[in-house]
Amino acid sequence: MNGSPPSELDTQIITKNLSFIYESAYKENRGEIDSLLKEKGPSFKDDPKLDKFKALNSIDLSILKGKFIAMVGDTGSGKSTLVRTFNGLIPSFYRGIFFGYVNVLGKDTIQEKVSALSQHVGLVFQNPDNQLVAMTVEREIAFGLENLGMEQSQIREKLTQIMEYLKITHLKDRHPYDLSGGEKQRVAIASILTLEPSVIILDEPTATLDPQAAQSVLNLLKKLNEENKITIIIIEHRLEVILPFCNEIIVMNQGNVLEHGPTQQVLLSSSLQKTGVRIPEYIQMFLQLREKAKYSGTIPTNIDQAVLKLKEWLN
Amino acid sequence: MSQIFIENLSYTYGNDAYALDQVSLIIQKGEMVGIMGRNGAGKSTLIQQLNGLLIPTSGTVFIDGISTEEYDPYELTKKIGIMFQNPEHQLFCSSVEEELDFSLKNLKISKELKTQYKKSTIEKLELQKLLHKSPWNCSGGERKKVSIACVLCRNPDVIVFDEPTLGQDKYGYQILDQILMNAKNENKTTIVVTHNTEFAYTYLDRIIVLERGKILADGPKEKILTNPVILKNGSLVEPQFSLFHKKINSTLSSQDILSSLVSNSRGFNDLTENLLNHIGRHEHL
Repeated sequence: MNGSPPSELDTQIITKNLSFIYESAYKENRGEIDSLLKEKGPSFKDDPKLDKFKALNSIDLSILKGKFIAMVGDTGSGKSTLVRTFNGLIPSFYRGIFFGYVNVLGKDTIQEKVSALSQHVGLVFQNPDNQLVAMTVEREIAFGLENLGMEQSQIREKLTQIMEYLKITHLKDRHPYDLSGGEKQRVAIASILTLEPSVIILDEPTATLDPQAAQSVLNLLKKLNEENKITIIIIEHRLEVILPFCNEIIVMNQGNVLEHGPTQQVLLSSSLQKTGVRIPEYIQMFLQLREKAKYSGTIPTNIDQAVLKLKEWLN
Repeated sequence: MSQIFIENLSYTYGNDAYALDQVSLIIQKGEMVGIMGRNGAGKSTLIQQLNGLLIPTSGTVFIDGISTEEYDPYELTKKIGIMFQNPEHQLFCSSVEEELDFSLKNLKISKELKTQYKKSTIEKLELQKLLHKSPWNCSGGERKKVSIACVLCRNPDVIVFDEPTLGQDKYGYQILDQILMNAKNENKTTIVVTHNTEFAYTYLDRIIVLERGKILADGPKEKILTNPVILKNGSLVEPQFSLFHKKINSTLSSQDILSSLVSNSRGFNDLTENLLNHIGRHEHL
């Protein structure tokens, strides 16, 4: 940002005072919520008594173009719920009570169709079974492009390119349901990449991949981020996997954003310790050295850096 | 008699390729075994042979000396509890409590014992707050925990986990840690399919690496997970401390103080303590 504040053009996603209560939580607590509404009127949404029912609680967030963001937090902290507001799935498909405002690429998500938002914001789910519908891998990846009315020759060219990128060309005639978990995830990612969205959100995309395949997917996402300025937001439990790639971290806890900032800032703050996020042991080592032995350097985000920094410091 | 004896096991899903190809192995009671390897190597296919979900195309799987094809399915599923990679494949009731009740329903044990199993599982896995929630309204990590509970509440002889760390945060790990420690103390055989080398290195003793349906390597974790050829061919990565140790050794002489501190540490926690002691002594002088 070179010290200057970001312009509105740089900002791709803005949320203001965003809260969401799932329909199931409302149904289970209808009496309490309705009496609060009766008592307080429209201002009931800001009453702290409502907080315990909220999957998202008054979230203000601003995401800039071209960032590679890791979204971390306990299970059930609202990570998957939050990203579903970015392409309008919430509140269009997931029913519940929605407060506040989400603006994506200058568009209010309430006003836009999910199909229109989905072309700009691609979402790869945690469980690829939730998004694979075609009879072959090739048809699956072509599905989005066919819906856009793209010519067959262009579709074929794009398919070849994407399948080679993700090393899944050999799977093209297989049924998606016959694939292993990791192979399915790669197909789901491929089907999103074909639409060339401005923002790609991935919900634990490498959790079922073998470590080398996970590295290759993350390298590909980094390449897309650096070369095409596609904003990448990845929900990930394993910090050790995502840290070498991300430049920002969003920390979530009980429906709140505890912190959002550059990787170093978040690693040095105490917000991660307040959550269930597992901090890699080598990072814990540097945090301890900082606290107890006057280490003043930056916190490494991979093993190579850890080796270098420790050697430098002890010399 | 070995608890699990697999002899020349081959399996095909009906196409030309073999998902498992002449696999033979023995697992003794009480072993903590990791099954690793790249996507599609045959790991999940192998564990589904253990409780008869899949029947060998050729070869035999013996559990306590009896072929899985000769078992009453009820007896086999009572002995071998499998927790699937995707919890949605095993959850279908309208509340978490009903899931637990269903899992216990067909066990031929007294009502009192069922209540006891259920209560202890709820406590062990800290499910109190989820009991009345629909599994479909739970987060991914919570669903995983529920699926673990449904297997553990049956108190099987052999516990099989398919990717148990998937979606688990620090608290989920603490619960897994407890489950694995209990299994070890009770001398229960535990088989874990995982891609997570940090987890495997911390908790398991023996690692079997599959590649294209065959056994690529089988041995103690210290040998398997630090061998560059096995790691490369099995699409694995080296555990971070082992990698750190190698990189320190390759750039410093063994006389160097950092190299010696790292060599005398079993992990990063140990190294932190050794570094702090070293710095403390240095400052004192």
